[in-house]
Amino acid sequence: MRIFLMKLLNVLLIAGILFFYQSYAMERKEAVDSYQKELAEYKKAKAALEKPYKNGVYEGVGKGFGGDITVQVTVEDDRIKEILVLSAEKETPEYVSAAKQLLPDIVDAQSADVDGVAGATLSSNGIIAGVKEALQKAKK
Amino acid sequence: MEGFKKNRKTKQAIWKWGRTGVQVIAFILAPSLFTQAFGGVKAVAETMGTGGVIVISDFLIRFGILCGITFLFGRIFCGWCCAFGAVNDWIYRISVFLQSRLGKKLPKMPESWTLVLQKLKYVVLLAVLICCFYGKSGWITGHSPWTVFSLLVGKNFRPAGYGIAIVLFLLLLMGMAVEERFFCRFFCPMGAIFSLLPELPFTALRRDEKNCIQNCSACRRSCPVGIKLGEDSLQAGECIRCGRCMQVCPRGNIRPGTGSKKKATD
Repeated sequence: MRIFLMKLLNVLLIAGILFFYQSYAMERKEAVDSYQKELAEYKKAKAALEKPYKNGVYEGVGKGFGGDITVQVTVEDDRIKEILVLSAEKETPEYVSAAKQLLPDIVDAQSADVDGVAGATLSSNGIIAGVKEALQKAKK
Repeated sequence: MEGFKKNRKTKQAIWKWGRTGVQVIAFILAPSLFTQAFGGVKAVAETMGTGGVIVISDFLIRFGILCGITFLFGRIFCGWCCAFGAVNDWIYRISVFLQSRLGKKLPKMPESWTLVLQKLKYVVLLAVLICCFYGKSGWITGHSPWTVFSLLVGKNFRPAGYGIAIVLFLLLLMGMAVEERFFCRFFCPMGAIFSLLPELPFTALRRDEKNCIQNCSACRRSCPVGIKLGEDSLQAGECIRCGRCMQVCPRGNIRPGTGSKKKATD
């Protein structure tokens, strides 16, 4: 009988250890899970800041030297992919061509906060303003 | 007296072949139960090593069931249903048969050795659990003779990479030919666990010592796990309920349970 009781006590002891371990492990899992959740939310918010634009094609209009300049901004894979000048009728063609040099800069910077082209300031400003309006529409 | 002896011999034979029959059926139906049940235990150790939540897997449930059976009836799983235990039994029987046929006798292990080696299985159990705790469960499986057995039984034997496991398996087979239940008594981690479980007294085999013939020791000599049947002792954890002692006792002194004296039936 004594052996039976000894062995029973032994088993209960082991069961007790396992029980306490399991409650520790579950607490730990809860803590890890809630941390992971917070981390995922933080990452999402950060990504939204870094990728502020929705995919799509957007138009914007800005005042150039002679009149309105219409631009088209294509956002693909959350990035500004391409910018086209749709119309710049009232601008002097040479100035528009010069100002278009800032378009790659906008794509590089992923923002319209770029310097205008020297000597084609107003056309540059028109394009920049148009792109800014288009990007406003593209904001998430 | 002759009738009594013949009756006893018949009962022994019936019991022996009855148990063999059950072992064969268990071997066919569930040859991996022992290793699956232990797999559940290994998984718990591994989980605890990573601080993860213990999952009640299918294997762990099987382990629980075997423990429950052992609590109620003693180690009948070991004695009647374990496929690897059956292999132990059969290798030994073939060896004894061949020895008598060839007139040769293999050396017998001295009792002092067996008493020490019986403790080895607890070391094996601890070592395996520690390895699993530290994430080395795959290493254990890769070098385990049980894996070799599973591959053979599953007719899926691809020896590549299992060199050590195969060598261990062959060494075990040699040991099984020399000593009955060689693996079970000295190395089995599952057996180590079972032997530590409390067992309800109803099926425990007890000997009525007052009635024994002096210097008989028939029960001890017939015991496959070398128990000297006596009062409540830790040795009782070794008993696999094969029932041989009951059948072999010339005075019918051995009975299961809490030992109310029954009339000798032969």
